[in-house]
Amino acid sequence: MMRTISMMRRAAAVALAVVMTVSMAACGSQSTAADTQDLVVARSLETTDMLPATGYSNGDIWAIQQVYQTLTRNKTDGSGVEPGLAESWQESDDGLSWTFRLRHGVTFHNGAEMTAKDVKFSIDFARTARDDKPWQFLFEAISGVDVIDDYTVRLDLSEPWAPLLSDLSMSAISIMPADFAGMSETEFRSHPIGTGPYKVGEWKKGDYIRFVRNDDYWEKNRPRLNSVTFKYVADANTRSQMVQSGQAQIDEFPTAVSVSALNKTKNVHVASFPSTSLIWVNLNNRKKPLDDVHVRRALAYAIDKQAIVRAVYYGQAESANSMLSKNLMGYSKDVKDLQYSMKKAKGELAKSNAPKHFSLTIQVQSGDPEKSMLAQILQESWKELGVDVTLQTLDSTTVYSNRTSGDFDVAMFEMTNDISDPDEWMQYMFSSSANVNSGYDNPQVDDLINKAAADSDRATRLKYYAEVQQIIADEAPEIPLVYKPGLFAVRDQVKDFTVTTLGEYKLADTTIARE
Amino acid sequence: MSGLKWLYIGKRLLLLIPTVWGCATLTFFLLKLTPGDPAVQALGPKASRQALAALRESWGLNDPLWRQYLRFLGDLCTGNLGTSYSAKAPVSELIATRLPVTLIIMVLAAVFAVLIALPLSVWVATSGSRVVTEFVRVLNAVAQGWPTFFLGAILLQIFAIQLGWFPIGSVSGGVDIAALVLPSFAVAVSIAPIIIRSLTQSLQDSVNSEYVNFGRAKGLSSHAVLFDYALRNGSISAVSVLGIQVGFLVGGTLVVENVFAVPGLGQLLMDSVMKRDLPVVQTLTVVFGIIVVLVYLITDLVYGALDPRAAKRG
Repeated sequence: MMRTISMMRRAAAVALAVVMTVSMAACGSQSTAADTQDLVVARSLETTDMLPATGYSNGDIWAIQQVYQTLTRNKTDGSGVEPGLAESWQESDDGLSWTFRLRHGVTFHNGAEMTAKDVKFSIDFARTARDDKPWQFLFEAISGVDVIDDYTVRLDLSEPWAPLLSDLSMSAISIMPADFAGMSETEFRSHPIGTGPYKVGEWKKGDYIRFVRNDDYWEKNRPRLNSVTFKYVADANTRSQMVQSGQAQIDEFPTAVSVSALNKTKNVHVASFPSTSLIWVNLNNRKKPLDDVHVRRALAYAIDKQAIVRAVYYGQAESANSMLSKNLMGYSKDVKDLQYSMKKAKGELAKSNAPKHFSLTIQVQSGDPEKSMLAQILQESWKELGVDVTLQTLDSTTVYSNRTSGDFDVAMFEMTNDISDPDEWMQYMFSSSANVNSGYDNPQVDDLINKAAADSDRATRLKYYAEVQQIIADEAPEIPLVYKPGLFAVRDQVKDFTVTTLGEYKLADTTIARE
Repeated sequence: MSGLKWLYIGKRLLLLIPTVWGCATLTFFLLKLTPGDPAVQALGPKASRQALAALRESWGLNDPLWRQYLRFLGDLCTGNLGTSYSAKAPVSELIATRLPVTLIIMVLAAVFAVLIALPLSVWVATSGSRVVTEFVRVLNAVAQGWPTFFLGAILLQIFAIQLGWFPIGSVSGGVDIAALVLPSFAVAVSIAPIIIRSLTQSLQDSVNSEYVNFGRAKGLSSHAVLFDYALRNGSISAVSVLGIQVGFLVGGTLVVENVFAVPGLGQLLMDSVMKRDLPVVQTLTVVFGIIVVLVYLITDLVYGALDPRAAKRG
């Protein structure tokens, strides 16, 4: 019997000791981020795949951009490209071949110098179709890559292709060492070698990835930090708490509702960067009665975007007039959208062939409070038109699959762009073969988009794109709601942290000051 | 340990086979019934229709169901866990990095739950005061009704931000136990009430039983009566309740993992289900099946140690 007592006592003592040791360990003095120049970013997305051609989520892309670089790179304001690993380039007169001169003295993380054969290998890898390369369609116009000498590469095109320089800035076509530096592709995927300011240090999948300073980086005095850690934190509230406690210096995407509280926190502010984000409503143009343009226009007229900006985004967004991001080339502020008017909405409905009462289902991504608020607002707004709206909450994979298969009436999505040229956005959103599958099919729009991609005159392209935007606004196959900026909660000690309009983190310039 | 006991353990381990097969089969067919295309998730919404079709083909998702099922069972038997659709890394690697987190939370939570439940139950059972009984009852109700994410946020605010005793998550490499203390405590608070209820009840029964009265009459100290007589018997049922609760924790600590930024198997399961990452989900259910069977086995062994009659029956 005594054995039981002592066993229990011992167990309790051991447990207490564990707790004490652990607490003591946690209390130990730690050097500050300013001393070590180690930056921790609490991120909403996980990095799962760092092979440039196959990584598709923003969690992958933004990590790939720290380690790999491209021939051209995006300007911070998203207005076009500037030299990256290519110093200069020249287009042939017929627009069918481009010659790129490479920067000298750029080395990979394994010490090897980057030369034309690496560029050829990388571009060929990215443009060769394979079932796991989501970005390959961007590079289909490239028909051949030729090594002229160690520092010169020529790209041949099957047709003149205006977006080429933008497409080459895409992380999917990053420059890797030829033949994966002797590794197998699988091995290389987990042990990336690029030319970027940071190398992959420790990568604990599903938890965090640490990038360490590349001492041989080609840009002088860059990077300035010793390391950057992307810590995956799914919970938005926990991300803000990590920044408030100083355990992380940057919180990616604080919720709109938390912005004022974060701004009031000592040593923390919310930085807002322009982005290409557009929140929009997808309508199934193939389904009755949404195939009727008057019904779609009625639904668009019935949405009070200003109210949405206030109620859902606390003023941290602005109402959208066009289905193209306002921060992309080609955006036209002159596009006249269908502005909120219940009277006009009812007028449109009267002109339509729709029955007096009909019902629609909005599919809402689960675990997304923003979309569920938007859905409720749409439900109330359309109720006034006599539309009976049901909300159906589904996980996001199902919502996306249904979009591809056409099993939906209405759904809401967020769109961002990866390159500075609007061609990708236009093809993806409005062309009749578009993957967003609103089912919208307008040969005139298809024609304008194709003409714009083949034309090298900027003014002409802008004219075509403005025309497309106005047609989309008038026929309302898809309804734009708001443009969202990129919000980041940042500790004041972080200096020179910039996020480009296309979402790239400029972490080579960043430093951490004393608090 | 006697040969009989080894035989018992061996029999229980053999039970693993049908259990795991049942879990795996059920999961396989449930996943097939779930809408949503894994290829869309893997390639992203911008991928072309041709690419999606090609990917489905290469994953064998176009084969007849029976063939997919047989292939799945074959892989399971040969220990080929496959490659994650989304991470494109071996499933075993993904699970190996998260398993320690989940196991440590399970063990720490069990320890904390006992540390919370034991004193409170003894207090109620021995004090005989209505005030104490009511106080613990209310405490129980509050603890059980408190959503874990809310308790988690409060714990973080106090112990991680104000006092700075514990880190939120960890980026220090390896398994950082300091980051797992608060999440384990939050889990313990959620499972303690049911243990307190069971322990209090059986302690009260034992305290009022004849053999305890006999012990008192024999002149033993109340301390000895309580710990040697009442608690040993009273804790038998509580041990099985604790075992069942801890069994539930395998993969059931998703909320805690999210709030405290300590990714374990719960988060991996949730993410994988959301991404329709079939190889990961299927392997996880097998792992869960094994862990639950082992936890119940350990529970029964402890039970047997406390109550030799149970061991004989087994």
